[in-house]
Amino acid sequence: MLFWQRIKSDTLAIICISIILAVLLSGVFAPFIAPHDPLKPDLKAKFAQISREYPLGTDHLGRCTLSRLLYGIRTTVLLSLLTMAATLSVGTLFGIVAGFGGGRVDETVMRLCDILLSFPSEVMILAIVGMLGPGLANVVFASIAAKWAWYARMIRSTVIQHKSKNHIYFARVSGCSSLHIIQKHLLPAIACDITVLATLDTGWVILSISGLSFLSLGVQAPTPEWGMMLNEAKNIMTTHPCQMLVPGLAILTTVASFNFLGDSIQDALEPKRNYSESREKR
Amino acid sequence: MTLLSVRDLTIRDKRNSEVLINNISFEVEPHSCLGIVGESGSGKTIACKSILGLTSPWLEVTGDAQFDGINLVTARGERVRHIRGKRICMVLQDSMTAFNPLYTMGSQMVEVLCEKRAYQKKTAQEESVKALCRMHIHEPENVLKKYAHQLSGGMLQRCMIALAMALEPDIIIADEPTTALDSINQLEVIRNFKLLQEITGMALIFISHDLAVVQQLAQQLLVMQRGEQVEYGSAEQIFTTPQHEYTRHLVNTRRALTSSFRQAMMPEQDREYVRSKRCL
Amino acid sequence: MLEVKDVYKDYSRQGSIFGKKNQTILAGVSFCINQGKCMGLVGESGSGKSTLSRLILGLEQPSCGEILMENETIADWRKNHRGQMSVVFQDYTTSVNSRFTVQEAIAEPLLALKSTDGLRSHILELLERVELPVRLLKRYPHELSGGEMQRVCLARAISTQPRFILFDEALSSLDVYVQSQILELLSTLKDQLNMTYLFIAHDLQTVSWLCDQVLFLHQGRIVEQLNSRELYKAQNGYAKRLLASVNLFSGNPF
Repeated sequence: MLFWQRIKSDTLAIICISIILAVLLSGVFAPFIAPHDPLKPDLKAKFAQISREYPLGTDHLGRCTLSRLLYGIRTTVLLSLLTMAATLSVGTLFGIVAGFGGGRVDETVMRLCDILLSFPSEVMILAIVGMLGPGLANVVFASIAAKWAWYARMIRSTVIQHKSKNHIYFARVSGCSSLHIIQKHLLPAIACDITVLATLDTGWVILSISGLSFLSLGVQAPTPEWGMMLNEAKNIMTTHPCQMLVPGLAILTTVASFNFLGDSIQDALEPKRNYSESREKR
Repeated sequence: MTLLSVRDLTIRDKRNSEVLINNISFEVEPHSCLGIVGESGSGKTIACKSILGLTSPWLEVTGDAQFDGINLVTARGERVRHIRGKRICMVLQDSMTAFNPLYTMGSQMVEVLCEKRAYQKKTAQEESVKALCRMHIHEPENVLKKYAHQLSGGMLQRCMIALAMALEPDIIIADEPTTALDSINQLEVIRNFKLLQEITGMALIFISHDLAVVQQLAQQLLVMQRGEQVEYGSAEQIFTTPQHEYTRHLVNTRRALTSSFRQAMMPEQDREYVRSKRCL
Repeated sequence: MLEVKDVYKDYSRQGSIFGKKNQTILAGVSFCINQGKCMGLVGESGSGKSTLSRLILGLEQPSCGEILMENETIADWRKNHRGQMSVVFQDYTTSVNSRFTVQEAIAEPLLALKSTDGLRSHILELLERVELPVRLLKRYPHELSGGEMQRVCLARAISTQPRFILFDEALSSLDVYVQSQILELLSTLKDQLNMTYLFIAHDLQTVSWLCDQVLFLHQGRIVEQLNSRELYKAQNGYAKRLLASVNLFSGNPF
């Protein structure tokens, strides 16, 4: 497919995909590659220097930083991706229903979005988690609830823009079902916008989950999580900067990779760059 | 004294070595109109865009386009920008997307006039109104307050032509300016172009596929087919005695369309008379 | 076949804080088109031609009045006769999804009708009808010229053998040479497949060549209806002005 060919020829995209894949695989195979148990404290080895035994040193409880980093991938990255996917799905569904449906359906969904968007998202997440109780599942649910309305609005406006294009008119006149129009015409058109939005927000989700973990509302100690590691390390920032640098750089690299990848995907999906094979071969 | 002299203009696509325009040569005199005709895809628009340096970066333009001692093909940056819009204006084909949807017509016209003619804002405003009046647009002040999406395609095209005329350049390149207009408005536009030529000595390069409109305005004619120059010379001569097969085909096609209309406009009895005289 | 009865269309526009102003685009439009005939509709840009076309296609509802196709409302007729109404728009660049190849674009209405037997041969036959080479099947819209693109739209429109086709300024963006070729094609197809056309344009010469009757639309009203062979019988002032201003081409100099 042209899309994959284009991605393959984009060096930056390949680098980003490699980084993200490496991170994800490390997270999945963490039990096999981590040198130590991330949860086992060893106060004798508190703040150990970088050595063969502890490749990135240890934290204030003597736990191996590298092991915590690797196990933390599961909590931070994989969970964020799951949250992202769910938020996108819900937001897209409502956005398309509102944009395509028009009239009363549109009004209802938009008023609902207005209500949800009038709360500051952090406050809403806190409120929901506060009501449901702490825990990862509740944090995920709260993040989805806070963000879907924003996506629904963006996608609705894109749908409305595309709805009055001639090719959609033709599809309607020639008797194509609404499902066909949404699937074949609207979704590919909004895929570009969704990708960019999603990659930009991945960073936000990571930080949001970390923030809640700090408040003991999300991930409970001692479960390893990058954001929590950052917060634990901020107290000893000046004495042991390594502890802060490691999770910080990990978050930076991962989020940056997602962002750059989003750019490359957007370029690759651009239809004007489609050329039939005969032209490509020439 | 020739205003613009184009010699051996060639445009090549660097990506696949396809030649889009092959050795086009023509001249534009002041007070005159050059008509460029040919079917769509023959390279009319891209030839004129290349003179103004408005082509895509993967197109290689070679040749000579002398305007006031400068070769527009090889000149770069500021020199071309100074000429573009001030001394050579281009009225684009798709006027509906030529205006910024975020600003009113008035603000866009005033912006262009202030920059290119160094007017004060108030003068530019007055000039805009005058320009629209010349195009017989009703209630020009109201039109200036509107946004592009609130006006019809034909109205936008007339605004674009009015703006180009207000700039009073040496040459106007008009790319299919009358396509979206109905016959009444077409006549107005043609009249305005003729008037402007007489008053300001402005030269006109008129790109069109409509031979009837070109016939009204052009003294010189360039016929293009698939990037090649098929015929070039006096418009009158080419229309009466076309040399090339392709030109003859264009002329005959147009005449066939016209004759059916002419017949319909004649009462029954006159038709019989004319048919008997074999004039149709 | 098609009956438009006293149709009004208003759009509400935000005039001021205290209420919306109504802008009337169509004010009492009425006409009929008989089966197998070609009706032309001319008027200046902004006179409501596109709005009328959207109403006839059932994409929007009139504020007042009704539009009937074979004595049914447009929505019902389209449901009962799927694929029998088609349209060709002016702007060929947005008429086909830029992500579709030519083949996918032409196949779309056929797939909607679920008539997939012999799809490929049907598409090849359509290409032949509109005089397009087979090598264009895998091309994307932005790789084709205007004339070729409009032919693809035409092939797509006739693919389901419709009984009614609406042409909304379909030839206006094309050059005269291509226009005349497509006009010939339209005329042949109409006779071969016994279709009814509504041909909206602003160029009187093409309209008078192709159509049986011509309607003149001015400021939201039909001001004149003439037989296309008898245009000299125009009574209305606007119609007469329009006819008089048509630019005639003569092979001879003035």
